[in-house]
Amino acid sequence: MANVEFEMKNSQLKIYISGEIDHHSAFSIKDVIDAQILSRSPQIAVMNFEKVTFMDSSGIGLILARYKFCQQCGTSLYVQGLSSQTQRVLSLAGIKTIREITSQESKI
Amino acid sequence: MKSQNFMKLNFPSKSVNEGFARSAVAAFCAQLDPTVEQINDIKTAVSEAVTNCIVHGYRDTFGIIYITATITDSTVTVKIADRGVGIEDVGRAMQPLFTTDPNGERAGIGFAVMQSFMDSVKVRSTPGRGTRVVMTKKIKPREQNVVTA
Repeated sequence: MANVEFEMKNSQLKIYISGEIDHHSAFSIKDVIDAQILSRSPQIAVMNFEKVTFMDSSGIGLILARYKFCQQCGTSLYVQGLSSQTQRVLSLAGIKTIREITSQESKI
Repeated sequence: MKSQNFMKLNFPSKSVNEGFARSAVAAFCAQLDPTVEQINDIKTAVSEAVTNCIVHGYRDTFGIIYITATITDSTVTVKIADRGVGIEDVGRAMQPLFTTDPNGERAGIGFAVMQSFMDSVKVRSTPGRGTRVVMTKKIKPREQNVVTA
C-alpha cells in the first residue's frame, strides 16, 4: 500500500509518497495527487520518493502521467529521492524529459 | 528429477494480490541467501508479470493467476501464467514503450523491466487461451558476489 501527503509552501506543492508503488496502489493515489494539483495550482510540484520502499513500472507510469497532467495545468514537475533501483526502472523508459526532471532535482 | 524445491500459488486476478505475489516469491527465494538488490529484482519482475495478467490477460474479467517457483541448484525459475485473452503478437508486446493503455498511466516497459532484472525471460501466448511467462535468475553464492563486484 502507498500513502501520500502534501505540503504547500510558496506556490510549491510537495508530494510525499511512502510505501509500495505498484499498479494497485498507483491507481489509488493518482486521483488524490491530480486533485491537489488542480485545486492548489502550484507553480512547482515536487514528487518525493524517499519513503518509497518498492516501485515497479507502475511508478514510472504514475510519474509520466502526472508530468503530462502538470504540463496541461502550467505546473513544473520535479521528482526527488529516487532509489538506485527506481532509477534503473526509470532509465528503461528511456524518456529524456524524465531524466531532465531528475537532473534538475538539485535546483529545488 | 533434478529439481530441489518448488512452490505453487494460485490466486484471483485482483490487483490487491500484486503485493502478496511478489512478497511470497521473494520469501521463497530467501533460502538462496540473495542480496537485497537481487530480491528487489525478483520482486519487481514478478510484480510486472502479475500486473500484466491482471491488466491485459484478464482485462475485463477476473480469472486465476498461476505461479510456480522452482529452485534448482542456485537458479530460481518463476512461471507466471493466466488463462486470459492472450497476446496476438508477442514480439510487438515486448517492445519497450508499447502499451495498449489509452489513459497513459502505464509506461509500457513491463517486459523490458523483466528482461533487465532477470537472466532470461520467455513468453508463450495463445490468443484466447492465455499467456505464460517463464523467468530465471541465478543467485550466486555470496563469496562469488564479492569477487565479481
